[in-house]
Amino acid sequence: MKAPPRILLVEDDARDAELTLNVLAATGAPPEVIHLHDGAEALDFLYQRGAYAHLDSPPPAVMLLDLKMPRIDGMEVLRQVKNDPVLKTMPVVVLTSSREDSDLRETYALGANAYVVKPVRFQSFLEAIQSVGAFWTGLNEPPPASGSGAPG
Amino acid sequence: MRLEATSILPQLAVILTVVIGLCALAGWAFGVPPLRSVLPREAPVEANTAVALLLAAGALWRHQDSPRSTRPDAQLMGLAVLLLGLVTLAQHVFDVDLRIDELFFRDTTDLPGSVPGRMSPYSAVALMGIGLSLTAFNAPSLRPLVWTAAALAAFVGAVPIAGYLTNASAVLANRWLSPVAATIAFVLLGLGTIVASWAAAGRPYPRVARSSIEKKVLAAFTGALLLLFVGAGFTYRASVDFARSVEGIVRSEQLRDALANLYVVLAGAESAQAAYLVTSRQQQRDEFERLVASARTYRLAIAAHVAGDVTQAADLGELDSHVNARLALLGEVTALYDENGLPSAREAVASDEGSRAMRSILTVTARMDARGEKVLVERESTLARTRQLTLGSLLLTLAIATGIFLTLFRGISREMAARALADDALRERNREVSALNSALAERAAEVEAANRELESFSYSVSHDLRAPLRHIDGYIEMLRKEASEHLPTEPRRYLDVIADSSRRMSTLIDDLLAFSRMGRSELRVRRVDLDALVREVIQQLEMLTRDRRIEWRIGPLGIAAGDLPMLRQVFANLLGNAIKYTRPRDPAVIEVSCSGEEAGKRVFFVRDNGVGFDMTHAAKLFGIFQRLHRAEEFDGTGIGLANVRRIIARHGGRVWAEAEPERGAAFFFTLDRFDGPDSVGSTTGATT
Repeated sequence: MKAPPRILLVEDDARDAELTLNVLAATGAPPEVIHLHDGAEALDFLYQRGAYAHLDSPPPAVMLLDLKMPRIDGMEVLRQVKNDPVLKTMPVVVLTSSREDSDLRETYALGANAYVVKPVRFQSFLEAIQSVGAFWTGLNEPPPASGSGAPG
Repeated sequence: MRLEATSILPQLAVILTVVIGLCALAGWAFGVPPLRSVLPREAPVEANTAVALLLAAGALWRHQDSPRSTRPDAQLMGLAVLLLGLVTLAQHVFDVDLRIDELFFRDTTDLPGSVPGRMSPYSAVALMGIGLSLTAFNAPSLRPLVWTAAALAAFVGAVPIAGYLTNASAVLANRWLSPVAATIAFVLLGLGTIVASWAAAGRPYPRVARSSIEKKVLAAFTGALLLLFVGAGFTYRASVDFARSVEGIVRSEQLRDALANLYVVLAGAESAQAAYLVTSRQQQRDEFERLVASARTYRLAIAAHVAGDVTQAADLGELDSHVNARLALLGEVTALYDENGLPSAREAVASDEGSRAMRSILTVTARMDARGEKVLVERESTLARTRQLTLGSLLLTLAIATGIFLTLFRGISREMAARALADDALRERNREVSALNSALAERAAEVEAANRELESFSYSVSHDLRAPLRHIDGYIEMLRKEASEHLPTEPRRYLDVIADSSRRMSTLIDDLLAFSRMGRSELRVRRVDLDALVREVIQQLEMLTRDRRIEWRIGPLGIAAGDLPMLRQVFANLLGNAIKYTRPRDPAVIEVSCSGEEAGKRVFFVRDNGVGFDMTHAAKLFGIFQRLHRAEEFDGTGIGLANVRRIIARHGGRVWAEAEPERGAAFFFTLDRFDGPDSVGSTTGATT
């Protein structure tokens, strides 16, 4: 049986994370969500170093990335990911409260694949997250995995 | 005719001058000497002078009548007077006759020492001064020249007047000075011109030109030149007098010599004759003949020296007869001696006829000599006087010229000092301006920094304030899902209120951010079709008007210049308010129209028949988060009108309101007309 698609959620706000996880879990085919709490953790996970050194897992289908985070912020994570020859193929969806023009411009300039503003109203939030999850884990064909693919 | 104090003297001058000029002309025309010369033995006011006086009076009349405006006719008249004076003076100075003196009337008065019909040189100088001042009258920058020239004319007139009062006979005999009537006219015209010009200077001129240093120099030089002319004329005249006096003295002395010698040679002739009679020597005879010839010569010389002198004429005749008698007797004696010998001659000599004649001759020559001595003394004193006068006039001329040049120098140095000061002040001002500019630039940088800070602040607000609201809404939603059916009605309502509050807060934040963004975003002014825009906004507000009866009255609004999204915001806020506050009305009446113009801008308004408000609170109306109604009555964040005012202000317009509680409200705002090319196109329908 095919393993559920994996979503990497990088979010420092525990409540936002809980809401997001809740919404994603409520979908028909709930994806596997890995929740990381800031940019540093995200980069450790992606480069399989530090606490994740022993981890051996295929890259996620999509990364949901918050911008404003402690230690290393989302913008920096995006810059490193999109400058990495392997990781740059991973889709990155910026998920943020900000609708500032400057943020939009900068993230797209760095190579973000999508930009979603977190709606304040829960109903809208739910619809947005579910559509994002459904699109990137269902409709979207992920890039072919380089190196060792997911085991069958 | 105005009766201002400053116009009385010029008018008096004009009237009296006209009277003097007309009298003189009438005197010439009808041959009435008293009309031409007021005083007996005085030189007449020449016809040319009279005409010039009338011209000058006319010019002064025109000038004082309207000192503010330029009078070309008055200037022309002044110029004519100036030229007449100049040409006449040239005739005097260069001793030429340009045949202008008897232009109007033949002068038959034939006064000694004057050319028929020609005015005196001082009249010519005075007319030059008056003519110059009347020609230059209208130029504010030449005013010092006007005053100097007029003062000169008045001075030239005043000096003979003073002379008439002290030593009339001497002045009257002086053909260089002006006749008394003319001098009065000169004084009046000079003073009148000064007063009129002074009065004109006191009035605001349309163009106030500060007299430049060049003009001052020119005026001072002209004044100095005129004075030098007068001084030089005076000096020349004094030296002519001097030469004449010297000549007279020489003649007086020669006369006295001749008188003394005449007697001596006659006595010598007698002695020589006597010697001849006694000795019969030819030598004595020759001596006698020589002395007789010499006596004749002296007699002729005496006649020549007293020629034209009436006081000596009678004595000269007497002297002649005595001398002739004596010479005849001498001749007779000699003839008798030659014919009849000594005895008859002795008889002739013995008669006392000869000695009588000699005594008479002595008496007459003594009388004539005494008279000649008196003339000599007179002439010597005249000589001394003219020498003093020459020296005095020279010194006075030099002093006045020095004074003028010193004043000029002081004026120039003061002007230069003032200019240097002005330059310093200008430099100082420039320094101040640049200091202010840099302060301004600093301030602008500070404002810029503050703006950036505000921007990052509002960014944080937008980001950080939204998250808690999202959480509240999210968790309430989850709570409802999990526990709704277990909760009683009241707690369920509480949840609804919490959720509603969080949404209102979210709207508030969004409005605040929009407001802040609107202030920072660039204004793109173009052609906006307001009619289409209002239709579009009303359509967008359909959600609010769906179950309402609203009577829309949309007047023709036309085209305005503005930023389309911002103007859309304005109409959305104003129409939204109108819809909101007319909720109790059925039907609501909302009017949108243009009510005219104010300061070149068009005035638009949105009027409703809603609940209105009390105008005492109108000042608060456009402040941010200011509300005039309780939120329970009418919802809203209180930011709409603040936004409207900010947008209209950024368009350079103003916004105001008129309202009455329960009678409705009207909101007015101004916008520029659209003046740009039409090709920008109507894009009001497009959404952004």
